[in-house]
Amino acid sequence: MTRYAIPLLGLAWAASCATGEVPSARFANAPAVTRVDDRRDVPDKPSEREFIHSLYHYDGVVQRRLSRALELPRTRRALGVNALDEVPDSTWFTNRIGVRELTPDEVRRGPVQVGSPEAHRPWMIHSTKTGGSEPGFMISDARGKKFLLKLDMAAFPEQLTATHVIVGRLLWACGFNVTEDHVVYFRPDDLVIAADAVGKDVFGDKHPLRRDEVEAVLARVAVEPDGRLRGMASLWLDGKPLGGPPAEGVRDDDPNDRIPHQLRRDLRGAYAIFAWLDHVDVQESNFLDMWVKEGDRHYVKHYLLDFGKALGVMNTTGINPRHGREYVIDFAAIARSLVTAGAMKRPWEGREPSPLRGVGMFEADGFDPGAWKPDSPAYVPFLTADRFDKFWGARIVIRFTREQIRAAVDAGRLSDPRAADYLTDTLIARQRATARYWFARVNPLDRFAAASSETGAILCFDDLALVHQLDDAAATQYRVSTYDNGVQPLGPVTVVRPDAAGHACTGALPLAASSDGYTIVRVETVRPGFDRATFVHIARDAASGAPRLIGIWRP
Amino acid sequence: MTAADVAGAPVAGDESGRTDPVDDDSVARQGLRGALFVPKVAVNLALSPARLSAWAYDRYHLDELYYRVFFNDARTIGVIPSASFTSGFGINAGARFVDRDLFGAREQLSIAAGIGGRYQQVYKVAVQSGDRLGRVAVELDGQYELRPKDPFYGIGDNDDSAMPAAPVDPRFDPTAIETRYRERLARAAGIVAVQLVGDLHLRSASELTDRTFSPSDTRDGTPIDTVYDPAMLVGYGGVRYVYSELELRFDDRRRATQYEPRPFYSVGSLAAVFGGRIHRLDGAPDYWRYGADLQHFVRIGEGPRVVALRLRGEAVSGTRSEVPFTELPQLGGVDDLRGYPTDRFRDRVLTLGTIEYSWDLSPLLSASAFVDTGRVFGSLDDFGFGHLRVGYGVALQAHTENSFGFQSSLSSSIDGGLFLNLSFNPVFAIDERVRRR
Ligand SMILES: Nc1ncnc2c1ncn2[C@@H]1O[C@H](COP(=O)(O)OP(=O)(O)O)[C@@H](O)[C@H]1O
Ligand SMILES: [Mg+2]
Repeated sequence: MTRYAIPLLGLAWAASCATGEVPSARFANAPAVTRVDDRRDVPDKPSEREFIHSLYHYDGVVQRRLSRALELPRTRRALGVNALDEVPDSTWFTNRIGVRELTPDEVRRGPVQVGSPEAHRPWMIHSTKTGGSEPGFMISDARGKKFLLKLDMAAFPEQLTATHVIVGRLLWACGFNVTEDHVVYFRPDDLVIAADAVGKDVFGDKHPLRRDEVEAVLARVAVEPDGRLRGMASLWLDGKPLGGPPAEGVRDDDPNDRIPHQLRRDLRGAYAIFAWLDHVDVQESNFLDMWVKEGDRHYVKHYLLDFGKALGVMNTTGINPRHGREYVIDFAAIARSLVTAGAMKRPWEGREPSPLRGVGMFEADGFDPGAWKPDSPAYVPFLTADRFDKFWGARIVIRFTREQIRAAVDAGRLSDPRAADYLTDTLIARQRATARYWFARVNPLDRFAAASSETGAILCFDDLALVHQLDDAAATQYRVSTYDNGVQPLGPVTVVRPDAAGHACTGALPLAASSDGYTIVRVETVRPGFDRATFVHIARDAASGAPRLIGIWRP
Repeated sequence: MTAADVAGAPVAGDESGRTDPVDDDSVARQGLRGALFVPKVAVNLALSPARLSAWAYDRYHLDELYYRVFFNDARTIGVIPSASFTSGFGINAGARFVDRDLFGAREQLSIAAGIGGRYQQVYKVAVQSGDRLGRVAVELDGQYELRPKDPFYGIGDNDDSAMPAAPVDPRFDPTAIETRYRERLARAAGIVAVQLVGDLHLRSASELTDRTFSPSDTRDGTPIDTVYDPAMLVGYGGVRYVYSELELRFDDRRRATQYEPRPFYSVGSLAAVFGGRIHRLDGAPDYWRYGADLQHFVRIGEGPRVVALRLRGEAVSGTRSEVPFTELPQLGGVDDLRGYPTDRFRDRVLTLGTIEYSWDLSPLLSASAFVDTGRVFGSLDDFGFGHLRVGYGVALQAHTENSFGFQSSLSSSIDGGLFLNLSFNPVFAIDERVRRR
């Protein structure tokens, strides 16, 4: 077999050159899959993954990074994508913004179902918070609902709490499963220590929680001028926690988890979204899989959590302007700085924290959507993410209207309206930078629709760069060519132009003569400095005979 | 969305709608991957101790465990291990007991002991008044050291020379050969510092010192008495003195922003002048010691990137026949005139200039390149810019946000030689006359 492999490879290469115009992707003549069934019964609870912080980052920064390189991973297009290059709904992701109308109110509420504990005081403290170093408690409110209560550090009032909620709402609207988080105000005497409350030290040793321990935590916390405290209450998730998903491969004891995580589009594409939000605190402990019960079946649902370090809050609370621009341990940055003897200006220089209460070091100036880095290189989906994944993420990001973003910001209950204005404006500026960047790297045509015409089909689409006024409609044209399944041209190349709103339709396109009329339409966007194509696959619906969209391939 | 909503939908992984064959890894890639399997296993094996430490660090909370074992709950009382390496001396290891809050105003007691490297044994006790006395800080020290192999290269700015036929008089003979001597040092010191205004301090210090000397073991190098005539080595029979000095010090060296590591100065200056008198208790004549230390830090970029300038001068008033050979101002080594052996030069007058550029590599790491130049003179009248000794090198510093970790430097000089040093003290620490080496 191997004897023929080399000549065969050569042949394949020669063939691909000859038909280089049309990539080899082909699609079944069927409607695209909009949801997958990964909710099949998992009767046995998958094992809980323990998160060992140093080990995780050591592996991510050093050892696994090396050994992964030695495994020569091939750059692969993402999986978990349907024929139209979209992510179907699953236990990981639910298409929300842009797929349906989200009112600003809906964005403001986000995942909220139970509601804030603020009106349901006093709160019973059950334990101090485990996990990271930020102060907090496990509480239950007067309704008996359990929450994780996190607090702002004294030097950074409102930052963590506001950011946690704002970013949670935006990520929810993007389509991720997130915790139900609320900004809450309370007084120290709203906190009642439960009879069986425990304090835990770092070794996990428990002891009855004392009032002075609670006071010690509260002493580190920002206090409002009127003596109230401000917190972020995160509704404790339903189900049994399984820890975060592995950054590579699948959870072996979850049969629904079939796509290696480093190949999942929704995880890889989140890069563009996290970059937009400067959500740098990406590590396994900030993802949480829950083994949930529905009726008499169980399955695993995948959550994102802990957004309190996004929007530049990590830069201020961590007192380091490098966050988002360098990994915390960044060998490449160290080497660059070493060999240039510091002569090179680093991308984080000149950053200043915002003077506004509740705002971290978060700005649009100097934001490079393609060079953004989370704190650690350990999260493999961001290493394998390609421009198509990030284009997918950018398409979601750009869908937010100012009103929707403002609604999410309002959920953060910032006391200074200028802070809310600043965050909204900055999010919009970064949103546009994100879109501008990725829309220059993949042909930004979207929302394709096929209609029948007398002689074949008409294809309509939106040019996202024009819809969002990132480029000039007057200077844009589309060169449209059609091919049959065997890559034979079906007619002459035609040229169409967009309307002022960035919408365009082709003339009547001939469909292939084959029984199902399988036709590949190449739409090439041409404007100054830009020339890229998208391949749209159309075939006749067997039942109605009408042409329909069956696949999109972005080269 | 519920299970019922997705019943009948394809399972995850079957959503692509693609009918073309899935592309797989090329044969070449698979072959190469197979070939790399063994290197991969080797890398993983080689790194497994590091991986194990990373695991154990968190699994057993080793940092917390250290404090739990070696410190009290308030972390004010505890034991701190220490280690350093100096080329020419080797490794020093020790431990320090501290109580950082004796009576509630950050009064500090520290007791340290160490062995190895420059020291056969070293013991130190110190008490500091902390915040107790407001603008006044008082420190009392006791120190006892056995040093088996301190270096002596003769007196004066002399190049390395050949072995003399008979032991020479270092006061007049230019012979410079690396020799070693043993020393026992016992010392008690007291320091009172008063904040005058702002960054201006007046410090008064006194010490009572007793030193005795003998030749080192031959395995530690050439014993001093095989090259230099012990009868002509001033003080070799033992010295005992009281030294008292006054120093006026302006010091506003600091980091420029909270985004810079605290242990590094990026702006500000130091200007210190001092004068003091050595009163010999062993019948020998008294003399003066005086000098100045000027430092200036220019921040030329963020990170920070800093150019540091330093000028230092020191002199004694006694003649070579009056000042004990160990009390002559000395040059060479990690703290001054890097690129030369420790204490390579000594004489009645010392001058030193440093220009150092340092830049950050990461929040926890910075690098620097430096040139040290200076020389010793027989008297102030000899002072000039001729025949300067010049050392240069590069260094890497590790630190946390709040404290200095270590500095590792590689240095050489126009006179040759290569020196690797690992030091746990920052270079721009002020050289104190009392409590000096
Ligand atoms: N709403 C929640 N429901 C269930 N578990 C949670 C919730 N919020 C946090 N956790 C768990 O607590 C841990 C710490 O919470 P996190 O918000 O990440 O705090 P930190 O700022 O300390 O990292 C998480 O890793 C997760 O396991
Ligand atoms: Mg966390």
